[in-house]
Amino acid sequence: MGKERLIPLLALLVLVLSSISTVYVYAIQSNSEVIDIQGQEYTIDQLFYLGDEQEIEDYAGAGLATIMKKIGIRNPEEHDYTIIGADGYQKTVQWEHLENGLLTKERQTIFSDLPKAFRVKDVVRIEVE
Amino acid sequence: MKNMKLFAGILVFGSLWGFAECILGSIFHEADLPAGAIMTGFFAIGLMVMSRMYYQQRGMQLGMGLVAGAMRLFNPFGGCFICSAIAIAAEGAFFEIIWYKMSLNLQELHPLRMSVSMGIVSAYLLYVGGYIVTQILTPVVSSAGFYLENLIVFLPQIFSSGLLAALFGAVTIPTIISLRNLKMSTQDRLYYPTTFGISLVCWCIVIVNTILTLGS
Repeated sequence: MGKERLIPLLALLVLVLSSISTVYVYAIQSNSEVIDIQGQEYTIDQLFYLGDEQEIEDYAGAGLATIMKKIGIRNPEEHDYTIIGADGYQKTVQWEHLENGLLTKERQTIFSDLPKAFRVKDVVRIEVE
Repeated sequence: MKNMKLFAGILVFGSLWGFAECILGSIFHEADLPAGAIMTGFFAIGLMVMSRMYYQQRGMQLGMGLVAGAMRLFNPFGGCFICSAIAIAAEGAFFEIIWYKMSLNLQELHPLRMSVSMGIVSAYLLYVGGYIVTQILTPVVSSAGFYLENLIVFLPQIFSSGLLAALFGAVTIPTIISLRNLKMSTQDRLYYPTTFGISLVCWCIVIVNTILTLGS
């Protein structure tokens, strides 16, 4: 197949694939106001009550490590933690990062020792592995 | 001499790209506009196609990506700068791969249908490719490590977000191709002063912006 037919065909495929993905993303988007941690749901106010107040750069929030200890995660330093956002974005971090991380009132994670790619917005779930 | 001219071209186009990413990209990001799609669909694609059209040299766009990525590292504001630097360098590499089979005079892109299609394909693949590469490499260069499942579940979101970049690319490439009759002389005695001067201005503004922002 020559370039004059292949390139328009590829462009069409790109438009179809990205359109289907857009529909799918909107369909699976979560509007949950609570955060699920190991099957237990918490409001942001409950987590702020549990976590100690911390600041990183211009952000204030509840310390993630304290939250994990207070909700009763056993041997928290032995687990990995996958933080999942409403749009499906997720990042896995270890305990040493959680000790330098906080959860803001807007349900965003901030870590002082990790790149901004680890700032998960609209957190809806934290899986403990 | 030809290599020197090419090097100066890489430097000036890469610096313009990096300048746009650092200054305009940060402004778009702060304004909650889709900065990534705008930068890839308009600036990255536009500057790379323009440089390919005028210099007719493969490999140049990879160099531009490295220059622009290096500049992005100097300007740690507006989103994840490590991710951005990696994505910019990756976009230069992906451009070389996608455009490898294209003729150097871009003759096949003169029909509008072809330039629009190539704009969609190039901008989309650059955006999605850069996004995926940065999702892999950013955790690797940080201490957190890379987890494949984190990338797989987010692929639909990445594929979806590339749509806007593709639509921008559909406008950018026909516009750049339409400028092909404009002559840009590389014989002019002002070539080196102009290219190095523009590059220097771009780097100075980015560095001063970084210092001022750090100081405030």
